[in-house]
Amino acid sequence: MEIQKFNYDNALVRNFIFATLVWGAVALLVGLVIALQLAFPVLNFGLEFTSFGRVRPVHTNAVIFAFIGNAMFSGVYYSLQRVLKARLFNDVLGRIHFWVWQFIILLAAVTLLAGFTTGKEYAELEWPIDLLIAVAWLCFGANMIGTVIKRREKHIYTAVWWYLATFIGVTILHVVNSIELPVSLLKSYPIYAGAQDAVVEWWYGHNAVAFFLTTPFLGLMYYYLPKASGRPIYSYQLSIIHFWSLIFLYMWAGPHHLLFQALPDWVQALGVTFSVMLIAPSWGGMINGLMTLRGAWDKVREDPGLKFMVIAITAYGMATFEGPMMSLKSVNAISHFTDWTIAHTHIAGMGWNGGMIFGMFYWLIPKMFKTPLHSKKLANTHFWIATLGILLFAIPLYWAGITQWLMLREYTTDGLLAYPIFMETTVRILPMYHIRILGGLLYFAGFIIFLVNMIRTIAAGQLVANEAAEAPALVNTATRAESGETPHRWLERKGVRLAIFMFIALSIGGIVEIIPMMKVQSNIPTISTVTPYTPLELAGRDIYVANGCYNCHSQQIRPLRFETDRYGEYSKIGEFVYDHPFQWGSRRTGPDLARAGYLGSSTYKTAIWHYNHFNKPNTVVPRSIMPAYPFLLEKEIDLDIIPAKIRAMRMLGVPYAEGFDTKAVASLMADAQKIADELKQSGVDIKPTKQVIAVIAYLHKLGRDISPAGVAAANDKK
Amino acid sequence: MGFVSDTLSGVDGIQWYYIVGILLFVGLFIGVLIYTYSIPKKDLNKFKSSIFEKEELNNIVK
Repeated sequence: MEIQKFNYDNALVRNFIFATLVWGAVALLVGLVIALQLAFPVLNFGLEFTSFGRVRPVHTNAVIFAFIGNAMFSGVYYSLQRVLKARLFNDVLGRIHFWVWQFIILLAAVTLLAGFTTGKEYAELEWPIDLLIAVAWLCFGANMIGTVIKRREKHIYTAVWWYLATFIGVTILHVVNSIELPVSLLKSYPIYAGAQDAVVEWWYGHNAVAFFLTTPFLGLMYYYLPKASGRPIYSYQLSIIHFWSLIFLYMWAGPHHLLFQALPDWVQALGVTFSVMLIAPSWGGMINGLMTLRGAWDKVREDPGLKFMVIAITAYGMATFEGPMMSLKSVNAISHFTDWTIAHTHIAGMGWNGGMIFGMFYWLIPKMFKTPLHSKKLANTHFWIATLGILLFAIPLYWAGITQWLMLREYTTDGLLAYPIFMETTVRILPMYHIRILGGLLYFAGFIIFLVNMIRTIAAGQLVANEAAEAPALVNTATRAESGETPHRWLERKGVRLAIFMFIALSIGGIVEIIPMMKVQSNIPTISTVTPYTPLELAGRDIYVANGCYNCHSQQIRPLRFETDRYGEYSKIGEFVYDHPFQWGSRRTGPDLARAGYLGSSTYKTAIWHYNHFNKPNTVVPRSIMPAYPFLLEKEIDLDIIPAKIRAMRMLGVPYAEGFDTKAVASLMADAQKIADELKQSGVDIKPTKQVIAVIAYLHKLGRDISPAGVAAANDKK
Repeated sequence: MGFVSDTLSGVDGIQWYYIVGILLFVGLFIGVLIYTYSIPKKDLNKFKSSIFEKEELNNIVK
């Protein structure tokens, strides 16, 4: 048998490791900043670039795509080569992937802080960056599939299955969720509106968790845990069963993010059913991970990297039990829109992803740089600090979530809301926010210790950029069937065939949920009095989106008594048919705004109230933690782009009259003048072209069309 | 996509989709179960150990 000599590409792995270390520090630091901002709003500095609504997406994107993403690529590229006994398919693809990915991260940070966002959580990046993501992702996929094809190992180890599913899954999600109509270089509208946009976005959002934060890390677990513990995985059969079950089921579960919301019941039922079923394959992974360590727990005691992996698998088990529970309607009524969700995501992010990354690096970096770990003591210190940090971060947030929910649903004996002012509930949970900062600080301190340890280890060692290896040649892996071939062997003999089966399993859930939502009119009942946004309201909406208001305010009243009593009539699908993008939100740090334009609602406020509130929130709402937005009083509405926006909306089906784009600016000015005049009566002299005027107009549109005043106005027009 | 719209518009009780979904999953699950248990034990053991280098195999915790 011919023995072939070749080299593993360690340089690319090293590059992704370095990027992980740098971006990890940045992502966690930004997280700490926003935790501080929530407790001490003065730290928003009254500047647009530093306000919570813009910084929070930087944190989420940096953690997911920069820290976890780079770590994932480093782990995948290292293990892929060893498992398949082949150098990566193409060095150039690897370099392009690396540099484009880092460029994307830089662009993301700059554009998000500058207010260029699609307004869709975890998919905020604008269309040119979406295209760059596609380029980088295709390079990653082509390199992986190419390596599978040219492998020297007949069998494709289970870790690679998970990597392939990651590539296919994210490709489907990114393409479908990012279809948008560009208006300018950094502004676009999604082609979907309202409930349809919500279904697509949370199908994407939930499965970004699945296929960016879960499947690749299960693959990494299946490689690095056996390697670090010296134990083969517990059950190979279980790895196959939970693989197919998990990738099939995940794609159906997205609507559990939208329970009680303006969606058809059948979509919600679908989301709940499949979310509950997800416990089984998820726990299959957890059990396989923990049982792999049977007979090796003495090693866990000694090895900080293994300790982190145990924390990771335990956190995975916790999060994947909690997730399905949160998708039950009775639990979701509590957890949704409160800090419970934030605690849940951080158990998964800090525990599962963070734990796997630290565990992997404590094993991988000494191995790659051919030197012992600089300090085991520091690594153990990191482990205990990080573990304590996770607990001090998550427990107060669970506490805060339940406390706030209990307060929001509390009634007096007279049948009135006990805490009618939302701010009362915020003030009550502020101490939990302070403890959360301590938890975040500990986790960050642990990361710094890890960073020092890694830098010292790397400095003491030496990387072999092209590591020599040899393996027997593999002849005719793909073309020839063997006698007595098992279905398993048939499936994986051709990597592309395996990938196609994965694609089918992944696509079914999305197709069944999304296509009926798009194509069946009865799913989106319209309301005759709901009208498109005026040019001024549309401009205001875009400013609302640019400043990330959706990060703290929902626009979705659930049909629950304590919500309708507080905010007014529950939200209906037909109210959102012109919303590109939808802005329902996922967390209420402040009150819901769906009825901010409904005269008589508790959230309806006058123009002067909004003016003062944006300028100095604390003067209007004492102890408010909302950032100040004085810049809205100074900055001008971009009038030049208004006609293009109207044209784009028309293309998306919004029924503006033909030629309205040419009259849009005049319409905007006329409406803006009315608000400026109203403010003048309250003693404020402001130009009608200031951004605050547009935002006030937008807020006064929310819910107005179904209010008595809105219905009367619509009838008058008829 | 017009044919999809036309077809689905005529589907009475589209809420049955989730039952169809569960049935699809049950079918997949049974298929995967049969497929997985068709793999010979010796092959499974070989697959499990395939990530270890020769020198690592000697040190595997039994």
